[in-house]
Amino acid sequence: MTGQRFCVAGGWGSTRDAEHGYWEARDLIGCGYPYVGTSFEGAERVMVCGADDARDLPELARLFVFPGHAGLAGTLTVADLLLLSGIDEVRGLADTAPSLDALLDTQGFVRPRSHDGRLVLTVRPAEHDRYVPFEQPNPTPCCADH
Amino acid sequence: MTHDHDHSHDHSHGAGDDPALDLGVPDAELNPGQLRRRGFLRGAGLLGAGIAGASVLGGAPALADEAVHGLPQARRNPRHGFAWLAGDHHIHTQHSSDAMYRVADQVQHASAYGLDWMVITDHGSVAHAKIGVDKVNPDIVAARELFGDDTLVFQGLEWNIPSAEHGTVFVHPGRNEVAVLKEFESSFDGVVNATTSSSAANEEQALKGLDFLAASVTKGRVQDAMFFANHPARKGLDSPHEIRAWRERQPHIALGMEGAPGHQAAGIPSPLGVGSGRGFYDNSPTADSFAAYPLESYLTWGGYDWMTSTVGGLWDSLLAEGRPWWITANSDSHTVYLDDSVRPAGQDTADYFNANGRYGDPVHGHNGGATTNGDFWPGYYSRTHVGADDFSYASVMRGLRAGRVWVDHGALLDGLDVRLRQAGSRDPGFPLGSAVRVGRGQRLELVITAQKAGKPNWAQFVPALAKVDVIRGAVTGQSTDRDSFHTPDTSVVQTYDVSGQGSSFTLTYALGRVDQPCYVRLRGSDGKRLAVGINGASVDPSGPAADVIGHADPWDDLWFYTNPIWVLPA
Repeated sequence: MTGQRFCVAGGWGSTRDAEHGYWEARDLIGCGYPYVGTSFEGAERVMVCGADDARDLPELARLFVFPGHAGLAGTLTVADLLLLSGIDEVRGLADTAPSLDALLDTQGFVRPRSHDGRLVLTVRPAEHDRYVPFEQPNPTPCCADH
Repeated sequence: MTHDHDHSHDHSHGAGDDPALDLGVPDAELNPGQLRRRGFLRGAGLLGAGIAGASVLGGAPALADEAVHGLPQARRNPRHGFAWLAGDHHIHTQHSSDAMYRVADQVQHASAYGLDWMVITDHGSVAHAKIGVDKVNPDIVAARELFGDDTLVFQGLEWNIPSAEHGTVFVHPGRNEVAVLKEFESSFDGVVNATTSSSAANEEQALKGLDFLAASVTKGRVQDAMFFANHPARKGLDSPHEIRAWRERQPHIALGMEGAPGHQAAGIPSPLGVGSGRGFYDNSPTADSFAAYPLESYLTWGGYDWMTSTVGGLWDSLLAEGRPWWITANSDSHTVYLDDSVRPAGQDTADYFNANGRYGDPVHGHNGGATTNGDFWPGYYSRTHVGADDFSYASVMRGLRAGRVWVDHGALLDGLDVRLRQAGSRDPGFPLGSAVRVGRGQRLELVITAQKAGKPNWAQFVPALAKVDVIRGAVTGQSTDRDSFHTPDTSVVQTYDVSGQGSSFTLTYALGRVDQPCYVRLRGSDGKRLAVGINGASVDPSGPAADVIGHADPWDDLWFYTNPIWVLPA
């Protein structure tokens, strides 16, 4: 352990709920940490965890606060995304690697995960030979009225 | 939501005091009714040699045409072949809170689009368990009267599996079909009983639900019952150990999973379509998800679920263990792409649904075809082809249980016949789903006879099969890791370019001299979207590609898959 960190459970039902919960109560939960994300502890238990150092995050924590996160919007090259943010690696599905000049439509919603203290953003193929982040901003809920 | 119903009576597996089930009682001492039931149960593999059938391995008799432990009797193809009946076991109606059509709407479309059998599977819910499961039955009975000569209509439900995803449960028609489904849903549905979250206790509830279905058959309440897991990888909820446990607990009830989910129109680009993931596969891991599943498992690949589409993946890991586990392909039809009907004003609210167990009958809408719908009508795009002895409810269920099943999208094939036989022989051979005992070192061949699509599909073009892949795997026996979703010894061993073939063609794949247990299965494609498989080019050089979110035209990426045949040298 190299720095300060916290992990709290707020009775949230999903990662989205946990994010909202954090922003509503971050003065109480832990303001000012450069890395904040959600983490699962057992079935149905969603935690919010923060750390001064990415190496102190739980494995596979899903980050919504990380260096540069606020500036990630619109469409970027993979190289620019790596330059502009604390994301260490952009990974394709099944361990493929998009090229540095591949275009990534951020959808205004970028949630990398921690792997051994490194921030990895997994991406999926999208229209016009672009990529989008794996996690979708508006996934289809179960039994939605679609 | 608790229920204080006593289901201790559901747990009997043994013969109890029913002489039909007690093999110590000779046939001669049974009355005609008991004898008939024993005969049926024996034929369905529910009694006698097949009763412990969690695996094709072990204890099998030496002759190829005798019953193999764990499977219904492996039998040669009948002289005039099987009747291949196309169907769909996953269809919703106005008795689901997220759907809208009458039973008659779904049946008449399915019938028109060529389905021979179908299962009505409305969601398990409090309103459905109390009201909908009863109300849907007269509509199903009426549809059988109207369409029964063309399309068999089963009543089932979409079970919220405790601790897991959804699944189809259905029964053979009969006087107790509603009673059994209603008791099952009330006692074991995850939403009705608040048991959907992942836990060991809830996993046990799922197994008790399967016990209940098995007991309903052995006690003679219904003639037959079965369960298939639906959209298994969609949210990572069906862990490998749960799938193994379902099959082991009730191998005659828990039969397989959707190889391809429904909602195949959901990836059509916006604004022409929903612009979601194909199959509405656009989710991310939740706390209930099996944590070891990789993110690529949450997508479809060529329209198929990752468990099935990955060569050397989860499905193959089950087959390599000798576990019979079959795949199907269904519509999951709720609301159909470009359909312009709507729910009637005043009978379209949650309050109305909860009070009445269904929405009002759909009416003509005036906003044009709905581009926000992601489904097709049953039979329009996805088909599950079952090799049956004849056109009957019992034969469809027997064919499904035997794994005599292949599936396709977009009417890619008019027909497919796959047989394993001794090389060069005139033996009629063994069909899909068989576990064939052979003499060690015998030379074997797989004979594949296919009819390419000879007429346009429902998108008004004639699909063109471009290639057929033979996938072969070693049978390695039971894995010590019940959460394994990988097997190293399965790969594509042969690819046939069939683009130049005529309307009907035969391929013969030589298995060679087989000394070790193995299995073979087939896959084929229109060749329009191909990519190196998830486990690398040495395993699958030209497999399905990851479906592009918001940009997956289902008609430009068509595949068929078959169930396996095992070869077990003596």
